[in-house]
Amino acid sequence: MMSKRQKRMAAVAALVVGLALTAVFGFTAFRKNMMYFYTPTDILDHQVADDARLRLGGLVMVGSVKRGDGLQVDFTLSDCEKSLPVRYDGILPDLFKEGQGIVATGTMQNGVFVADEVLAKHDENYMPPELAKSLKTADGKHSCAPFKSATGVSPAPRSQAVSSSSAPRSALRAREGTVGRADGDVKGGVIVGRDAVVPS
Amino acid sequence: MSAEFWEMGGYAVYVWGSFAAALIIYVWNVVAPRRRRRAILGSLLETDE
Amino acid sequence: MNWTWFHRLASPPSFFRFAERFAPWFGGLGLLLLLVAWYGGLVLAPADYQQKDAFRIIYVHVPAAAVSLSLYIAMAVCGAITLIWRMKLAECVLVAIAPVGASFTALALLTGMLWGKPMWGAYWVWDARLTAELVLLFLYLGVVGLNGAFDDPRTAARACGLLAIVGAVNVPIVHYSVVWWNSLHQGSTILKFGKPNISASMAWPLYAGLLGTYLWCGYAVLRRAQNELLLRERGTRWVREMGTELAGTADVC
Repeated sequence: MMSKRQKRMAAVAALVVGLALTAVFGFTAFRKNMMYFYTPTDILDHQVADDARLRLGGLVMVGSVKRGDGLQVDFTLSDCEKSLPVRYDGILPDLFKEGQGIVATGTMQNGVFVADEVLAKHDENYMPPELAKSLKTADGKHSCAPFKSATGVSPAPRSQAVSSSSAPRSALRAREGTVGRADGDVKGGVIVGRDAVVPS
Repeated sequence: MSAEFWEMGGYAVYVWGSFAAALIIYVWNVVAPRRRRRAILGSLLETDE
Repeated sequence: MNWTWFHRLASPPSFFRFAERFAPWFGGLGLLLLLVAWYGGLVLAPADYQQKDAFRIIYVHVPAAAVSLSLYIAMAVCGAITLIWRMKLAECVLVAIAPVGASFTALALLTGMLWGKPMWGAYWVWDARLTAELVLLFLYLGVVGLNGAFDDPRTAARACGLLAIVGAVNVPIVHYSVVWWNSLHQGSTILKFGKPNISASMAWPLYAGLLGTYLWCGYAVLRRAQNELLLRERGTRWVREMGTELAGTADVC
């Protein structure tokens, strides 16, 4: 026979367990909807309607940025697996540069992602500029790990990643984790611990 | 302090805005309970006498 | 199991005296650490290679965000103790934490917006991290509001405890949102397994700020819990004695 206090203890424990289970099942089922953006792999592997507004996240490929008339800019966005050409006409964030992670909002039009908003997605590394310079690959070295495939079935990691057709030498190269992104392999289908390295 | 320091590399509004907001929150967290205590102690004495 | 030690430890007059003795230390040490942290963060730390001087917002944003989660966990634990053991002290601490937690959650959101605009290019986006932190603010405000909605403080505390426990499911969501899902917000710099991704010259003011903020919150929670105890125990002998004892010092402390 349980005392009143033990009954209350059991009730609270049941509440906590029930909530935790609900959350786990709920978020597993809706994982795709919790993603703030899709990766180039997600979009290329799935049919996307031409007028569907979506967000695309990845790294700006080195050597791919071409400035056009006015504010127009063309570049290629990569997740170390696949890449997509992006066109944007507007003001870029301060941090925008080649090798930088960005999230663009827009639509797919004839194989080109036409963006109307570009936000910078910087990494969580902080260091003084002198240190960044002394590290051979520090500037422009950004991990692909934060760009997770929403569909969760990204292809097996390939040793050679995409390269920009215009500047193949300075393209993104896939490398086994140096920044030590332990969180890269948390979920199935996530791109594991690889960095996009810019040869200096 | 030099002007360069206050300019914060052009991000003065954001940096100083953040620190100003923080200052307000930190100070409020000390001032609010103190004022409440004074009020409570005052009311305790009133009901006693 | 025998829980009498637990109850004795939490007797209102002994906790009140404990808080009276230690709160000044929490506040004083906290202030010292925060002064060091802000001076270190604003003056001594070098500008970041990527974010330049804008990265200095980290010294107010990260401590605020850290305590917003820690205080919620503490509040939920008090909620469980309130519901299971009906302990008066846990009720007081629960009610004391809510406004402190709400204020630091609001600060984390505000400084995050002020950091997001110059770096990301937007004050606000509805990604998982930002949305979950906003939910956290609503949970804190919900506890504050719920507490005020009842006339009987003990009934109020039980309702608040239930809400605190239900909302606790949001805490791991806030913390792991950047790992589980794609977000605009970057991953954790220090609160993660492995080596922190921050240079030592930039890290020490952050650690000082974190510790200072925890102590500052400790001060605020102790003082607020004392106030709750005085109100709930009014009419008892220890409060009458304490009242006259403190009345003379009320203007200075």
